[in-house]
Amino acid sequence: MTTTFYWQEQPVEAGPHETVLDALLRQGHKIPSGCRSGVCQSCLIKVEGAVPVAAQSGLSDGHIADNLALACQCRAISGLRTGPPGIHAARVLARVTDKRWLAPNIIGLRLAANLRYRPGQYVTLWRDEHTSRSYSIASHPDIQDTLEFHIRVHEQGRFSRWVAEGLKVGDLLPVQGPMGHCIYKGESSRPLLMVAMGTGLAPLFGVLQDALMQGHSGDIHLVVAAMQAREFYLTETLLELAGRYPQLKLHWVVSTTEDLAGCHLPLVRAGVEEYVTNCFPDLNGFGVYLCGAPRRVHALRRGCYIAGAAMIDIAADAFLTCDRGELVGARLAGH
Amino acid sequence: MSVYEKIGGEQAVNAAVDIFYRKVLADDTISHFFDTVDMARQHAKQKAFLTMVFGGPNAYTGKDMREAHKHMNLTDAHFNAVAGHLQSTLEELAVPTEFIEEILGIALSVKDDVLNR
Ligand SMILES: Cc1cc2nc3c(=O)[nH]c(=O)nc-3n(C[C@H](O)[C@H](O)[C@H](O)COP(=O)(O)OP(=O)(O)OC[C@H]3O[C@@H](n4cnc5c(N)ncnc54)[C@H](O)[C@@H]3O)c2cc1C
Ligand code: HEM
Ligand code: FES
Repeated sequence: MTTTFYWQEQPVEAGPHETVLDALLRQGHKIPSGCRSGVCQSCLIKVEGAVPVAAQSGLSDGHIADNLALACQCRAISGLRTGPPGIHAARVLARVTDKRWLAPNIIGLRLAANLRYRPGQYVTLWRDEHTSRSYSIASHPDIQDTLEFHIRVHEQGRFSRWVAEGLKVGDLLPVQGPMGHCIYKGESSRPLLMVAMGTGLAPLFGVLQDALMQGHSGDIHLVVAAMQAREFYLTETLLELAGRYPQLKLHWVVSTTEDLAGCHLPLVRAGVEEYVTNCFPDLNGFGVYLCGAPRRVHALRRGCYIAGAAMIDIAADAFLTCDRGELVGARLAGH
Repeated sequence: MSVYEKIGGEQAVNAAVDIFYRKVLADDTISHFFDTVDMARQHAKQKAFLTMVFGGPNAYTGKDMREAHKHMNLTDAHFNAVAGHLQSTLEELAVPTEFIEEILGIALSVKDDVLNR
């Protein structure tokens, strides 16, 4: 059984479980897309008709009022009329103001952009009309007026390699967003657990600064996890903050087998899940923040929940990649 | 008055859902059914489950229950595990015994549908 919907008034055939995005791509339409999981919002389209609720989940009220939806989350429903989102009200142009290495494989990128955001949110950056990636904002709007990102450079990374090698100070690039709910939620006396894996430190550095600025008085445990000791970055800043704010407790966890002698940080050699499970057996009443690789985030969310954190008190940003294989596999296993 | 209203309606469900889902996830014999990438969505389904067995307002029919569970090939052991976690959740919340029995009765009444027999 196929259904027929419309793209710019042209009929498009779709299979019974196909999304609007898949049907359009299969038939050769050039629709931007990224995560295919409803996270990056690269696949915004305009819709008329009965829009499935899931296709607008996470969108701003303004987007919904403009009849926008996410093509990757939109089941192809018979008679649905779809089209391009129109001029990109959703994007602003940003100028690169600074670019520097924070660690051997992590770039700190600063952009000047007219964007209101909450620390911990993320945006989608556009290299060209067909290459977009989401990155978390590490800065705080009351502390600096540029947006700051921590971008891990992958050898094969279509976006991150370009940031490292192609992008220059002064260049312009489109920024879409902000999005996401990994933000400081107040309740200043409750204990917080933040687990930052790799560049998962970016959003959590934003959340941490926000919590401290808003006078958070409960303990804040920041677990910074990396595969190798040389991948830790922002260490001086964090140590300085911990000196100034006694409620901030830093935990440095590294999963490497390399020789750690000579490292000035009090490193613990452990898997991050193992470390968190052992150190925080009772998370009842904690606010929990988890950011980094999807697999780790998922395992930790489960672990923290079982250890007593309430579901609504766990904020998590899984750094999904655009590599479809792993993602589709993970989704199928879950349903 | 349904047992759902007697024990406090949606508030009772909210109090029970985290305790119940935690027990289910920690039980290796059934956790794989519930351990999804989208935990928030699964959490919402646990609310649907509890609302139903508490006798609260729900739109599910026996046929829906068959559809929702048939791809899992569930056995008596799976069912008993879920019923056990339900019972201990209610005991932890100090729900009176007569209500617990009523709730377990509702769960039993959909057993054949859930096990697709
Ligand atoms: C909400 C959200 C927030 C994010 N925030 C950040 C952030 O703050 N900082 C950040 O660095 N990233 C972040 N990401 C991930 C980011 O969006 C990209 O997926 C990532 O940078 C990879 O893009 P790429 O162009 O480098 O690689 P791609 O071109 O997408 O992938 C090419 C190849 O690189 C390799 N690769 C890519 N990612 C990984 C990985 N994680 N591990 C191992 N190999 C990999 C794979 O071999 C892959 O096939 C976030 C993602 C999401 C969804
Ligand atoms: C005691 C009787 C049971 C009742 C009344 C019940 C009820 C429900 C309800 C109302 C839903 C939500 C359906 C939906 O909205 O999609 C659901 C989903 C689910 N149930 Fe049950 N259930 C029962 C037993 C079980 C058992 C024994 C298992 C496995 C051990 C199980 C596993 C699941 C799973 C994994 C889902 C989610 C399916 C999905 O994600 O689509 N249930 N159940
Ligand atoms: S939200 Fe649709 S591709 Fe990312």
